[in-house]
Amino acid sequence: MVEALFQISEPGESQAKAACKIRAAGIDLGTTNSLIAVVEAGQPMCLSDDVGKVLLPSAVHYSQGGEVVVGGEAKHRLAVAHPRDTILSVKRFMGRGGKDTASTQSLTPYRFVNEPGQEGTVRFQVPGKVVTPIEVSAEILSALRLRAEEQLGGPLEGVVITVPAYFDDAQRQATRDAGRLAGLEVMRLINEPTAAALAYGLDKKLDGTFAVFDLGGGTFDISVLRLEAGVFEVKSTGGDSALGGDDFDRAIAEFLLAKIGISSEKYADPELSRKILHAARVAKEALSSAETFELAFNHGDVNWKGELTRQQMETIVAPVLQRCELPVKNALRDADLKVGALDGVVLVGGATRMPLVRRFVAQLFEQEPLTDLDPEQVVALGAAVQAELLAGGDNPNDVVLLDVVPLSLGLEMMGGLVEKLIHRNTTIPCGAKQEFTTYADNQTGFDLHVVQGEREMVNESRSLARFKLTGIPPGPAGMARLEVTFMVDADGILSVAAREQNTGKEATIQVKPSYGLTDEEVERMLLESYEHGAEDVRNRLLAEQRIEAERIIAATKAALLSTPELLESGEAEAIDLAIRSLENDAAGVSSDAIRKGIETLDRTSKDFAQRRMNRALSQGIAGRTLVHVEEKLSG
Amino acid sequence: MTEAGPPSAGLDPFAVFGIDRRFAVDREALESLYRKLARQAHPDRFVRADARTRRLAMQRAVELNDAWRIIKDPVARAEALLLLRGVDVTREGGAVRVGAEAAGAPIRASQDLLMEMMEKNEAVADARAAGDQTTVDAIAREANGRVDALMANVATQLDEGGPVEPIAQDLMAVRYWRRLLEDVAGQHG
Repeated sequence: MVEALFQISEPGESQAKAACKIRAAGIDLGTTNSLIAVVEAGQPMCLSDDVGKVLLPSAVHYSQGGEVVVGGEAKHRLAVAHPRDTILSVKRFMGRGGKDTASTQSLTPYRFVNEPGQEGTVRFQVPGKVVTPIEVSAEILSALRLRAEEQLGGPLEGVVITVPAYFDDAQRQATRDAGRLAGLEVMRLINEPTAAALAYGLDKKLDGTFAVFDLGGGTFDISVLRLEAGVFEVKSTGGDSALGGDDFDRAIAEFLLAKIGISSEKYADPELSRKILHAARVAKEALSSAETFELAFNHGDVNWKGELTRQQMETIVAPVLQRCELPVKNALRDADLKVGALDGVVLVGGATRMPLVRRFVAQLFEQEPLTDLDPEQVVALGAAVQAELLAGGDNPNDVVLLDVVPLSLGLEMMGGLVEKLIHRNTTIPCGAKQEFTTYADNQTGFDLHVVQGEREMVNESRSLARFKLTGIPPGPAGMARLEVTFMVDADGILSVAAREQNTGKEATIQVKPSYGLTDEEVERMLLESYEHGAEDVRNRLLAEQRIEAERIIAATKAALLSTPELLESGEAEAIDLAIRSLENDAAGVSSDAIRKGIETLDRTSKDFAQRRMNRALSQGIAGRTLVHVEEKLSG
Repeated sequence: MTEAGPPSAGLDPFAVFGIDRRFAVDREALESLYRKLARQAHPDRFVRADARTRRLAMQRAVELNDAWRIIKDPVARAEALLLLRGVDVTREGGAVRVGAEAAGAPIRASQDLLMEMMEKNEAVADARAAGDQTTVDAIAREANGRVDALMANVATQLDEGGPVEPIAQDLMAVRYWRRLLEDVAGQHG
């Protein structure tokens, strides 16, 4: 409903207007399983498939005939028959390059494509084509979208997708791209632990400081959150992006292989590895309730029968579980908390169903964890709550999330040192500016290398992007004044700008992400994907521009009506003209013309909008100080 | 322990909260004000707004978060107050005068301080090499004590309008001690 897309014009004003509500959903895009949830009659609930299953296995099979199969069929049948063409746990590869994932790659049966110049992104060879993790994830998201649209009876207009708190800029960017590729409007990415707390917080109306212990299939996250007066604040985050239930499976599988007497070289046999991992998983799950489990393993000429006890299994996985302890301690230290100061511990992730994990958590935190909500659904439920809130549905609790930057962001300096501009655990959105200068006489350019991580040296940090700034007039060293601005938006995605101050002129900078996909690549994939022809893409661009035009026109008209006193002389006429011109453009079929019209209206009404924003936000500062603040802002 | 960065150029964190430029603050009242403002300016409230409104809201949210980061941390707050008086102590190698004071002489850390820090850093390195955790812990305790004492002095001087130079000296010392503490904490993961 395009005409329903009114945005709130005054911050602080209630968003709850039934007429504005759009169809929105929360998606937990997991390593092992993915889920989609919506809010129905004020209650978040996960949507199930035709046979009542809520979990969609994150498995994507590419057939010889070019068909794509997602979910249980892919995981349970096709992965066994065609292990090389069925991608499991693709999340481990999101936003990652070949070098980052070398150790993970060796444990999988996939055929990786490593072409020069494309080291930034992992690429899988499947029948007839090469796909990136972003495309594989987009298939999972499309399957969930389809499920929701069938059940909701109309197109999904906005989603919230969850990501591990530990996800860095590249991984978040990749997740956003996957959503876009699946034809979804990603309203926001939120951290999984935050979503879990959101699900609990609204249901239970708890106030206090909580730890969220999330041990999923592929990632371990620990977050310390404070819930107070409708604000969720992430105090600290930590974890291990390569630790999860899958690692338990691997440990058990290795034990079984030794017990059966199969040498570990044979483990490279994809069918064998898949079978033994499956057997390990089945045994692990059964042993959550049973004390012993009878196993039968048949492969080639191996016919083995045996027994695994819960105690044996717990001994096998204990060392893996122990790896959770240090991140927990660090997160508590970062949040400046003692274990005893926590008001609760929330469990998330399938692995937390294991009695051993629950005992471990109880011991580590000196209290019994909360288990009221299904640990596998809780993240999707929280995402649905947030999606509903962003979509303009009822929001009696008026909750906002204050998330933090998970890892410090900085620039490479001379000598390979890292200068941090934004420190970890800074509340987002956030920004930082810093000035730099030339180190050599007659230096006419800067090479800027953006890195992420806590270490002092660049070679120990993760490279995010390289920038070049050229065209600086030659002069003695130290003359040029380069101002670098870092900005992290509410999704945790970083943008960097650089400007040379002396010349005053806007120097052009080129962004070359050393990871993930460029915008052009995403566009190309959109064009190539089988469900969108070139015509579809053009139509979509046009529709997007029209919606944006309607939004800005509606917002500007409402602003003109509600605060005419903030207009300067002649401003109303100029804005009016720009609105009418844009209305004309929007009636046409050129998305380019609409974009230009939007830019014109934007430019014309920019100062007016700024004055309104200043006034609206300074109303939060009470009484006497209001005048003082307004003087500051308008000065 | 993460050290708060220097205040961004052009941002007066005190103005963002509409409070006087003083070191002493009512932290609790400001925290609830911050939460209130953060809710109003949060990008989540503007997700479906037009791009321009989203951009403006984000700028405000960034300013607010930046201002709060500075205000809530006593050292960053003191550094910001001094910056507003024309001295930036956050540069490597000593304090510089900025703005209207730019012509003034730079303020260097005293030789005594540099010598003392060099000795302490060596002591930490030696103790660590010898596996002597007791000595490392003792130095960390001393560092914390020194930071507290320096900050108590800075607090008084700032709000009584004391001269900038001694305050800058104290704040530079605080930076050195904090770096030593970070180093000690970092080694234990």
